[in-house]
Amino acid sequence: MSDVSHSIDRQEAAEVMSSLGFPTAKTEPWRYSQISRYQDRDWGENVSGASEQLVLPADEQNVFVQMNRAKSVAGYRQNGSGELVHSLTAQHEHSFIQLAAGEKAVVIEDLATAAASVGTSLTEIELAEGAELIRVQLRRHGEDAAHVGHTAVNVAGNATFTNIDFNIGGGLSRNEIQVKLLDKQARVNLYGTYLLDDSQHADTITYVEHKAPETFSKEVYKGVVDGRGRGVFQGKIRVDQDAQQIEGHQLSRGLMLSPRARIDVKPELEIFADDVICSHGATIGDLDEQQLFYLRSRGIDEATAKGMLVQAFIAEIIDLMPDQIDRDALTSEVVGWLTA
Amino acid sequence: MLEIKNLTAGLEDGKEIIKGLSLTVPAGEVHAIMGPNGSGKSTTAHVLTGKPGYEMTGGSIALNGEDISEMDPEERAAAGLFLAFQYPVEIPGVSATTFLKAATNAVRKARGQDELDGLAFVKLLRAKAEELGVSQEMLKRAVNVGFSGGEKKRFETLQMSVLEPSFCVLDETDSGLDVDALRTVADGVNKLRSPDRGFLVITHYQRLLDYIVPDRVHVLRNGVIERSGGPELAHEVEAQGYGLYEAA
Repeated sequence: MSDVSHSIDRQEAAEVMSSLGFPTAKTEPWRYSQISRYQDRDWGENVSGASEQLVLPADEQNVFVQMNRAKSVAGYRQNGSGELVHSLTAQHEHSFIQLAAGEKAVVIEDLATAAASVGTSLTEIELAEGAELIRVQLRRHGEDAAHVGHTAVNVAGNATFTNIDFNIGGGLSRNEIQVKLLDKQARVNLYGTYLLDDSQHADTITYVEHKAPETFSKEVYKGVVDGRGRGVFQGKIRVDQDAQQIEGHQLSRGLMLSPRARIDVKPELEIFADDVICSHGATIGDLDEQQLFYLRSRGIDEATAKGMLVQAFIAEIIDLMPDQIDRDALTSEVVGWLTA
Repeated sequence: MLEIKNLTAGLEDGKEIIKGLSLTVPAGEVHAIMGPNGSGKSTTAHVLTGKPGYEMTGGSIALNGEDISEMDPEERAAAGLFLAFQYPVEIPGVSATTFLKAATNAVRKARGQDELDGLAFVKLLRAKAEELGVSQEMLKRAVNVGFSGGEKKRFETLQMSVLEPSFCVLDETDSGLDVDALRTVADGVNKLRSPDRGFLVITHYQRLLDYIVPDRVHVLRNGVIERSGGPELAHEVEAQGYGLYEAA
């Protein structure tokens, strides 16, 4: 674990940001997402000075990481065991979680953004030997807001990082999570659910690197898309050549409630070791007709029956939430969303 | 009372399967429909309950004097119709209790009765479950998930008991059951027989009718009722096989 974090000149980041330019439909990682329609919004001023860096993000070509470095203010900092609830306040926030050996923490990010706001967040996480972190993202972005979140995580041996993302709405929200599993028995669980309506758009981009033998990753994402909403899941697992006997599992399930809803899933496996267990699965569909008829044949009207099935679909993710989260309240929120 | 008159029906954009079926089951009676594979038994059950994908092209279906043929499945349930499924559907993520409460209050509301609060419902459910041999543990599980064949059919019977229908259609209830499980399910159904409740038992085999003894037996073939008689007709069919009709 590095005791000294690096610093990056904000001016330099601003220059890289400018040279990269705002993503267009042709910028590969943004192929599915039309963020260009937010280009003319006020993305805020650059600030001067140095930006701290704890975990090196893999992709220096990420314009929104550079933008965050150039424009961000301090978000939260969780050092050591404990619980933290943080509400997003600034347009661009830069936060840190650093757990030493054996420390355990639960961090809840309440990401509510204004109706037509734009912004970014960058979270750098370093977990030392045997540390355990559960991080919950409650994302309630504004109706026509754009938000790009980037999380970079280093997980040491025997440490576990669990991320649970609950995303309800938002014009365009993007959640990028890149995790490096650095030593034996390092483990990552990435779970998430999104509920999209109208012309909302949600991207989930995960990149898990198995850099050591006997490391484990598990991803389960479940999306519900109504109206003309669009959900995108791009999940990449990379396994280094000497990272034998690892397990990496990825599952993305989508439920489309309207004929104009759309879900894109792009799994990617890059495996250089030969003794690994890796899987990815994707299912996209609409509600099960047999289940719907069964409920209706018992007197439950069609709208309520659909609600019960969607709620059941999402329940798997909500049930994974830690006790600090009011799971019943989240379920009610899902029901409210369905009946709105 | 269920009155089916000159019913013609089939799959949507498919061929006609039911070709003029007429049948009256008075309140308090149990009638059985027997028939070989492909005779239209399951289609009859599905059309009666308004399953999407099936289309009624002619005739009428009346429950207690009310025409239900244009109703949605949920409206038919509220009107008093209940279908015990041949293959009860698994619904992961929805607990059996939650499901039963939603269904009970939906039909109560539609029938103009007060909805039951949590406590009142749990009391009712406990009593009925005990009577039908459904364990409390089963009620905590997701609907039909991990249930054995016998448990699924017992759970269907429990639903029937809680929803208090005036008419029940049992679609091949015996399929997938061994004799012990069959006896348990049949005992449950027999407990629910009453002077103001009718039953239509659809089955391929006479075996089920040893345990749920019908007042009348109808033999369905090629979408029409070919023969009707008393309970002894079931034994005749069993002894001679549907092949007799095939040859005739």
